[in-house]
Amino acid sequence: MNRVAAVLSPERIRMGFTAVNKNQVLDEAGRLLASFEGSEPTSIAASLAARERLGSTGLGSGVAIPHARLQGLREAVAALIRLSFAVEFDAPDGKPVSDVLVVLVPEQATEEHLQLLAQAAEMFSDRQFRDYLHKQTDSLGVYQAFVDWPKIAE
Amino acid sequence: MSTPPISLAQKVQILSDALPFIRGFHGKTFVIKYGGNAMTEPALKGAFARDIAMLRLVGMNPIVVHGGGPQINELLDTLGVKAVFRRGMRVTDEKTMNVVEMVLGELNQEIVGLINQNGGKAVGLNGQDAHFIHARKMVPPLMEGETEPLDLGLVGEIERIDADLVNNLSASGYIPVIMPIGVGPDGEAYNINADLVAGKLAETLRAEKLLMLTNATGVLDREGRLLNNISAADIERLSQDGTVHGGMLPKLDAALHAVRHGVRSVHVVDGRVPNALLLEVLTSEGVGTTILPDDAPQFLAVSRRYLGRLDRDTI
Repeated sequence: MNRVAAVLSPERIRMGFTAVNKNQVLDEAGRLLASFEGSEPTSIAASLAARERLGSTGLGSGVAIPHARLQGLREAVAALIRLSFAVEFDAPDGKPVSDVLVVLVPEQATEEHLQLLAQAAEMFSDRQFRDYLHKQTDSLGVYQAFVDWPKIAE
Repeated sequence: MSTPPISLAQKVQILSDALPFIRGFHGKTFVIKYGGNAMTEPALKGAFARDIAMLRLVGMNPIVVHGGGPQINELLDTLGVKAVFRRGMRVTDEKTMNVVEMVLGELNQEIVGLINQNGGKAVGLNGQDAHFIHARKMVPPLMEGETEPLDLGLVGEIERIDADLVNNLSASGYIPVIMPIGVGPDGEAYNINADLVAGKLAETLRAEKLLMLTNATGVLDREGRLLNNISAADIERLSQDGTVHGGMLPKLDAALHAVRHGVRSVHVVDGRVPNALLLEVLTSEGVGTTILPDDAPQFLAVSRRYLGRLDRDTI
């Protein structure tokens, strides 16, 4: 299994979340991940927001990978939020974002974690993967798309 | 090609989905280079005019620059004037220039008319109007074995563009439709490549996007696969190693210059796809290649710094 699918799980995929701005998306990411990791939702959201201030994690083509280091976390963990309506994310192409992959890594980040982000970016830069992902309407389908990458069966 | 019917509920959903894009690009300037099949096939022409009117009516500022394309050669043929190209540029004597101006003027009025029929308020412009495109005679660099530069006649290059006229029209809700004629210091008209006019105009206006309609899927790699996203530096590499050639070269030159001088992104759009403009602007996936500046946010570079201490461990 690829690195991204290995840290994602269907329970951490939230379909059809409605947000009006980036902050609300990061807040939701905090809630979604806190319930699994026992951390404070607000501290997760604040860490994600701190990383965004260094430069948007929006990749263009409607996808973003907000991520943060988190104290007390032992292993990397990811969640995915599918927004009901795209939200402005300061992406390089100026377009709003509707699929948000959130990644948390331990405070002592390693090259392994950078590779995880690199692979996530590579997945999202694959047009076929994006198209396939957008067609998925439930969390199991979305999860399976990540598991199946790079072999996406049409 | 028929598309399956969609329900009213789906239609409403589609409109709702477009709202974040409309909101994000509200009041932003888009320069659109219009050419290729999109300018010759009746169905595509109509769709183009509707797209332009729509972008304007939802609050964006589209500005159209068009070339003359095959229509110029057709008229030259009819009149028995031989078209001569040197290094990809039309050698333009006075007789040819008259034909160029005639064809461009006619096309210009046709485009203006089509946009207006669809509810836009288009205004046809020529670089002579208010003398807004300053040009000079193009003198190509000497090639080996030449003792004097190639004389291309009335082919011009842009000295500068005054943005006032276009800005004022756009701010008042009009859609400028511009033909690529520039004026020299003595009032002489010059024929300028439309890609270059579109690029320079986008730069001058600090446009959000420069969209170039072409007859190609986009920029392709060596194996002929479409490149969805490339940077200005990638263009230099692709031009130098010969991956990109022919008619795509001047387009990419203009694109390169534009993204390095204040245009946020350039899109080489497949103009053979109906409503290519709306797809490019109002959905997350475009149809063609997106070109971003070299200093566009580099996701991984920033992440590497953010994660810290990695440089020591890995490099």
